[in-house]
Amino acid sequence: MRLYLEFVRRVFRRNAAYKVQYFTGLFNALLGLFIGVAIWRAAYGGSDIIDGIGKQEMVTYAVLGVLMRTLLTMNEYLIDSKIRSGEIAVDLLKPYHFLGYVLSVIIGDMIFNLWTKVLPVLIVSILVFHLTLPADPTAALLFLISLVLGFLVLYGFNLIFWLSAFWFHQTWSILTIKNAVILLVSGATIPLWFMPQSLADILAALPFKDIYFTPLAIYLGQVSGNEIVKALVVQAGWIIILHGLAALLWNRAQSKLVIQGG
Amino acid sequence: MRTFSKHTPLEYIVLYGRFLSMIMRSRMQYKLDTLLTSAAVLIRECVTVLTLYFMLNKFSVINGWDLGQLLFMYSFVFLTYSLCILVFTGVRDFEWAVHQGEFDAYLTKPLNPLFQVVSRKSDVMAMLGHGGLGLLMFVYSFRLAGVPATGLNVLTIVMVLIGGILIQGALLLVPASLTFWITKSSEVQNVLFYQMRGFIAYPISIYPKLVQWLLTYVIPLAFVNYYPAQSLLSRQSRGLALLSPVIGVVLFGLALLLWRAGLKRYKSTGH
Repeated sequence: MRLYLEFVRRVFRRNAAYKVQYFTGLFNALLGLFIGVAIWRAAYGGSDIIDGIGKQEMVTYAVLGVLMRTLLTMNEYLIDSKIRSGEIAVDLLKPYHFLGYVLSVIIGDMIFNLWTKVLPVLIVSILVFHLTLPADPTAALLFLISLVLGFLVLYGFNLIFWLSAFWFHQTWSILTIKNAVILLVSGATIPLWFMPQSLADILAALPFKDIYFTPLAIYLGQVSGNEIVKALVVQAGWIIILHGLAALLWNRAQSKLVIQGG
Repeated sequence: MRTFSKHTPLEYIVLYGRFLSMIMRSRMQYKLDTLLTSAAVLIRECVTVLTLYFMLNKFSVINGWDLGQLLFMYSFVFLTYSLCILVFTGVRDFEWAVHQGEFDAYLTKPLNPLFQVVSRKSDVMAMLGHGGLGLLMFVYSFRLAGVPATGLNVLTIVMVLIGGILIQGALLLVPASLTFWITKSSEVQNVLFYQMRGFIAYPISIYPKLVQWLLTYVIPLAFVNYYPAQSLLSRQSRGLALLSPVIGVVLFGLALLLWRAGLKRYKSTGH
């Protein structure tokens, strides 16, 4: 465990070394926030409430959506580059679990994002956009639990696609398409309640919504009482399924390992 | 660069055509990869378009713009970027070419260095992805937005496209020229060009006055799509659309001056 914590610490410090990249990343988050808020405010126009969702709530949704995306930005090519360079062969010999190492790196990235980008931007946006705050501490806590589960759902998805690098020699296209699909149907940019009904019904049965939409809906109090428990259980269910698939894939991958010239 | 002008413009055009056909042919050696990457670019860019489509499904009008008008306006962003990147990929990747020493090799050849930067590379996949999406949106929205297909409109659209290519080409050439002074010019490009482009997905009238002013007078990306669309949709005078190519030429001229100043400096420091 201490070894993995050391990985997390090093990744954090490595990120902190790239100062220019950090500032452009911060600027990017602010810009996305600003554009997102502007378009939703314009869409609402003069009306204060549409389909039971208030203008201010939607602004909050848009802001938190961008912040969650900033938080959940991961190094998509970690496994790909290890396979490409052949380093993976050495990594597998080392006395730690390779996927544990990958998770440590991702967590290190996320702690860096949280501390240096999400928190400052969150404070600024609470002041500037007058974000709707959770109704009570319980709602806030449930949101945080759902957020962690949302991360695990996304991580499960990602792991499956990252491991595909064992079979494909180029993963850029697959990962790009995966990210586009997730962005569109997970509620990151547009909540399910504003999507066409037939599409929303289909998406309700799929795991994508559990990445962004479920936590945000809980935050805004659009899910209540027993429904919250149900939503969290569904998230947990998808985590088990996705991570189970990833584990299966990982076992296959190890026996399939092809390295240039070996 | 006077010293390089041993060749006539016609020779340059022929040479450019040869380089481009070579790039295309080498790219087509990997047909599946090219196709898959182009499709990925198209799908990635689809996200904002489909989000907008869903929003309009719900809200029908945003700031006085309906679905057809918004898609018509947005299509120019993709069409111009597609053609811009077809030509200016080398300018986009200039920092890399300098750091790799590729640019130094260009300087040893009896051809204008900027010509070589431009003609040696072309991101075919980005061109196909953005262009494909832009065409789909344009065809879909042209009638929906109610733009009459008159000769004058067609001519205006061509001028607007040229203006958009030059404006964006200039906004890529400025950070590329800065490579002669600073090491991380790609971050300048990222902020000045790629992040700023995020604004013009929507009519700039939804932003505060300061941002509108910025996108009109400082980084005139609003002339890529917003003002031309206003004009083609008969919301503002036709002259506004014709301002795009004018601004494009002026801006590109200024970027060219910066490039020349930078190049002079680069050579004077012992290269």
